[in-house]
Amino acid sequence: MNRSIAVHSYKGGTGKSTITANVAVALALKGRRVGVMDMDLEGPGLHVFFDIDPSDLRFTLNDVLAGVAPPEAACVRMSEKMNLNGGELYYSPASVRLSEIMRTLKTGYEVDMFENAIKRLQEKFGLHYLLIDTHPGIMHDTLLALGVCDHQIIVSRVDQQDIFGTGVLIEVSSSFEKPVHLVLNMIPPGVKESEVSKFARVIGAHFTTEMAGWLPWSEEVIGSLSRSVLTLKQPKHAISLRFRALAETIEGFA
Amino acid sequence: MVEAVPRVSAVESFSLTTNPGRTLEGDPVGIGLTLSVTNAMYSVPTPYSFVWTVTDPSGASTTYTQNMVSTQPSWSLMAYYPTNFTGGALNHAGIYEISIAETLPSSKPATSGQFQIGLTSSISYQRTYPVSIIGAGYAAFENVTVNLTGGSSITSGFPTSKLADAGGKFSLTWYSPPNSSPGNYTVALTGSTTKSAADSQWFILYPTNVTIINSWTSKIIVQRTQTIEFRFNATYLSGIPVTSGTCVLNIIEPDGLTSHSVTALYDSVLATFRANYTTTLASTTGGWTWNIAADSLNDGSGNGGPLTPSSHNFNIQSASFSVNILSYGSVYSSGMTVPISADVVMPNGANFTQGTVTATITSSGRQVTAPLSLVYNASSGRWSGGYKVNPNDPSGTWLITVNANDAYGNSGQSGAPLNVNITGAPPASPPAWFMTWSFLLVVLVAAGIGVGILILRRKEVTHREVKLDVTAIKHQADQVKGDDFLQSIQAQLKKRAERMAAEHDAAEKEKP
Repeated sequence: MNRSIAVHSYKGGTGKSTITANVAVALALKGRRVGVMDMDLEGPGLHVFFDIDPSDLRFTLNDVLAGVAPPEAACVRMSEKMNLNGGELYYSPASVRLSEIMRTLKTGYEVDMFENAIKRLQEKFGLHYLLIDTHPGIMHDTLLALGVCDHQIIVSRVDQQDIFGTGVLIEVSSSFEKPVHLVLNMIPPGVKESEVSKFARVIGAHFTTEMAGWLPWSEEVIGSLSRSVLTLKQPKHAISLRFRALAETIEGFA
Repeated sequence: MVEAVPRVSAVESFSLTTNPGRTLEGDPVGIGLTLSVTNAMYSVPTPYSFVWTVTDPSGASTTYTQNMVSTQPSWSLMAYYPTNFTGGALNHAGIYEISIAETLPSSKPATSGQFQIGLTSSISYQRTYPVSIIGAGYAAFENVTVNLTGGSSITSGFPTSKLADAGGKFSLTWYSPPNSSPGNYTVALTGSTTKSAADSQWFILYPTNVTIINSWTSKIIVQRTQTIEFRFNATYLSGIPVTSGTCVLNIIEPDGLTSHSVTALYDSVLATFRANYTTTLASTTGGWTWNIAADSLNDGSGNGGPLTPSSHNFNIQSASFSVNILSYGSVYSSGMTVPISADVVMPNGANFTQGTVTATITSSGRQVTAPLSLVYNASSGRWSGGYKVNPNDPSGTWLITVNANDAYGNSGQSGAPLNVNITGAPPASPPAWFMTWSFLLVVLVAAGIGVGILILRRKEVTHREVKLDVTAIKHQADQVKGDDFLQSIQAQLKKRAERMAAEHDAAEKEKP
């Protein structure tokens, strides 16, 4: 049980980072050893959820991918800070410095470096799950990273533009012969669960993917301004229960 | 009595072919010579004899005599030079003359021909192709100097020396640079062995063609305002990478007619040709292509290509703006203005400055105000506006929703909570008329209307559907899958899987 799971989406703003952070915490609260990598190198955002300023760190994932730092040197142990009681959470932030972002975008990175980082973190910290928050879209480096991970979770809003691109993304990702799971997020208020299930069945009938879960539109999530992990802050809130359910589903991944 | 059939006196016809017509010095196979005779005497078996003479470029001759008895009107004889010619050798560059004389049944010249021996495998090359230089007839391990001149100039790296092998054979390969001068070149070999004919030969060097490989598109699907990057590599026909030059790319809009062009330059850091195309807010959405036309690449030295055009797809979609609302919860009294400002950023990271940006305020699902127009402030780079508080506005959490859109169909939306405490709000205790029968009637009617609206809205929501155009999605996905972009990814992943399997096998073998 040491799985690398890429959390990806076709468009930005789908709640990919929110889901990554909350599911990671939900898994850790179950006593699992969890890693989180912010591979959204163009627009990193997970540090806001974890209240970490990457500028304070000596190394970030950008350094790891450039081969100038070992993966464990760009990893922050969050368990005590978040008071996770038994579970472990390790977070690998991406750089927020514009110069480093530009450098990484210009030079790209070798897929071997990324794969080595995954292996190294899994081995070094005995991770059960390594969640990888990616940069949205259909781009070379991101797709290459998806192909390396054991599972892909694709997050989509039920929005005409998003669904089209998500369909394309699922089709393309399926060609990597890795399991692709779909999470529908920000379901508008008033849409019944049966309707979502029906929609999921339609998608499942046409594309090689299975529904991992769905999450309703939540004022609390919007209101948190990405500054906190609701699963931790309001563990009994309905949306937190949804994140926990998604974590359960992930634990059932074959 | 049987009458003897007289011999028919004929005028034979002779022809000579050589195979190959040209080869290299020291060729171990040599040259095959074929003499074809037609109209020969044959009615009674007739002896024929021929003397083959080959004269090399130095003037030295060797001969070979061949006899046969003719029983057919047409036949051929074969000889191999130098195998059948005592003292014959392919040690001189130049023309070897062949003459064949008939000595039986009559003495007369039959035919003649020639073949050529050279120092290079061909007499014309394209730049960057290897030029193989071979000489023979030198002493074992003799130091041979090779000189190569193009026109009147001396070629870089020449003259140079190298030892012949144990059989006196010399060989050297020259890789002409992509920028070497085109035209005639002369190669000459000299050693301590004196050859009676100079060991030299000319050949022609032509510019070469390039082939495009590894085309790559940074994003198969881009949003308007984003920049898309095209990369590709090019090789000369010899397989050597092209590392200089420019290439004009044609970018074709979905109508298949409107085109734009960008110039790709060679990036020596990334070792690839690169070009960028920046989309605008008004770029046509849909399937675009970028093409490399035939002969659109020039390496700066006169080599060009490709011979065949290539085309690649990408898709432009409308821009989805990122909206970040900046508002500050506070205590407001009636008549005060709640400031609302928002950063609206286009997919390329620049501020959205021209279009419509509105803010809507709701509280517990109830609209506090109709959409307010925000105005772009160039100095702050933000869209700003304000809402003047009414005495009846509720305190608590307001949800501010900002919508941004433009005339081209690009849009963005975001919502943010705002904690507001309204002072001077209506009194908490109801007025005296609150509990009258007429008021209760109004409340009941309003409640009925409200329930009706809710039911209708619910129905509307229930029947709201997102269209799933499976055919269009699969078509788009197939375009992506067929692109070099994805195939390059799949090739890398396949290599990785193979490497991992090999590592796994190796680890298994090492187990005791």
